[in-house]
Amino acid sequence: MEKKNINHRLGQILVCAVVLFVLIGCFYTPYDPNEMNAGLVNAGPSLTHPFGTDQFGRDVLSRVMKGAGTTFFVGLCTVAIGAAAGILLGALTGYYGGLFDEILMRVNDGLASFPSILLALVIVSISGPGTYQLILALGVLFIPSFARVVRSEYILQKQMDYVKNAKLMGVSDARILFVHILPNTGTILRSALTIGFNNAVLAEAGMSYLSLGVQPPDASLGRMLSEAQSYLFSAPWSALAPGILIVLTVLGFGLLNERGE
Amino acid sequence: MNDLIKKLIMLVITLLLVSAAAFITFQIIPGDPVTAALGTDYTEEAAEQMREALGLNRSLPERFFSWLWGAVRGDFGTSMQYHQPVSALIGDRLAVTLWLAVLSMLFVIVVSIPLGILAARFSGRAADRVITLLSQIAMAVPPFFLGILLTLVFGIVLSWFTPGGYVSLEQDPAGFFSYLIWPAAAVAIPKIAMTVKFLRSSVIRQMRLDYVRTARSKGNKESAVLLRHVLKNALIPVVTFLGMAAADVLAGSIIVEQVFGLPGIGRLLVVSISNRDYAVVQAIILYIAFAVVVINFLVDLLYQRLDPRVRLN
Repeated sequence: MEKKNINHRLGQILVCAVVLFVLIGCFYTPYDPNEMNAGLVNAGPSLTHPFGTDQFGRDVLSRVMKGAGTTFFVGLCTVAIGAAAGILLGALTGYYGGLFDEILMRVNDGLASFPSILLALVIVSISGPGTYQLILALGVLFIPSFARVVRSEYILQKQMDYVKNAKLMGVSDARILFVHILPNTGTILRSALTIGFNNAVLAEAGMSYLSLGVQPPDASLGRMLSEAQSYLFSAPWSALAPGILIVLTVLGFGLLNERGE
Repeated sequence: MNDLIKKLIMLVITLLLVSAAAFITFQIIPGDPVTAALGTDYTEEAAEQMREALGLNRSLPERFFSWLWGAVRGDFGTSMQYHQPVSALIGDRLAVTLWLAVLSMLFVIVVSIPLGILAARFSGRAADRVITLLSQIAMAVPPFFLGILLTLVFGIVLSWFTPGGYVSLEQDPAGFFSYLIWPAAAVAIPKIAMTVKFLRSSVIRQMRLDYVRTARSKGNKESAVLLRHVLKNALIPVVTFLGMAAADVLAGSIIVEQVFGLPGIGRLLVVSISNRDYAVVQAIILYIAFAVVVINFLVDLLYQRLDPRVRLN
């Protein structure tokens, strides 16, 4: 039991640190992240450039701060789309059941058996690459997983006395669905949100790494990794910095979930 | 037997649905492939001729069935980018991806099962804590960053292999496999971590059941209880999990191929998406989707073999 608490605390610390790092990056970066400096190409870490510079002489620290912001933005938007639509669908199907529920769950099962990166590739191959296309693609892909979690929770909750009570008192269905039941799904929803955010960060990194997500010159963690890979020999820091930030983010949110088990 | 036939019919229906989805998805793309292919040579007649040649002037169901019939015979049309039959393009690259997937799955099975058992056997103690912590970290590393790390540490710093030094299987089988170890490790390690975690909790769940107490009270050693009684039951859910992992491994190799410069279908897919070479994209998506469906089918069958309770239902 005690170990779980340590993990959870570690997760909190990591998440706070990463979020703080990203928030600062939204308002202040030591250098302009897109400013090139031909005199300082692939320079190693130093006092003026703590994470070194990349192949164009851009400050890696500033780019990681800005890039993590982009990655977080994609992650948050994705989760927002997925969660909003997923909660609505999950609530309706879980509460009412019936044919609509049956059909939707079949489609859901079918989609779930395919790796999400494959589906994201299909959507992006139609919509074309780009940050907003990626958000839309990932957002749509995340709907089923949220819908599934919320649905099973609603099936459980609708049999509880407080729901029956509310019905007897003549409370409208919409109010029961979203004012009475929804707050009680909080614990489950919270872990679904953190897992979703983690998957979104990983998916963004993967897609941008394949040059199918965020487009240059904008920085994102995946984008930076793909640019840095050719210079792995001369400037490993420009690949390590964004990569390690991804690991810390995903690890932090992952550990945060440990308590739920 | 009856059950098997029912399952086979379901399999065929699923495959049909998947191929219909793969076909229709690429019909709703905005933009005309003919206009794009002709570019500056565009004239009304040339476009009409090309449509005729590609069969684009027929109705949607007609085109679907002729496409499907072609796909069954291994004919996916011609790539607009490479001016080669799609099947030839894929054929060369499929072997690389398959070998990568097989090697990765081999790593997953060989490494994760002993580690998972070890973690469960010593749950709460030092060995368990180290394994759990490592797997927690490994799960957070995206496979392609792991690939970059492996390249950096083993390729550049330690020079155990040459980054980008891929040789084909026909040229040099030994060189092919010794290079393929690294991408396979990059794909496998996060999956190993997940499998270890899953197997560990599966074993611990079994250890609380009555039959374990019976086996212990008969005087069996703890390791005998674990290996002879518990493991068989604990592995059943892991089989399903590994089936899902196999699908993920196939998809995960798409990105890792890019990291290690492997000429597999993943790289072909990414290049074709960028070039809007839809005949190739469609064919590869169909290949992977079929693989996923067939893997799920096989896992389902295996699951029934292993767990008689499922067979009865």
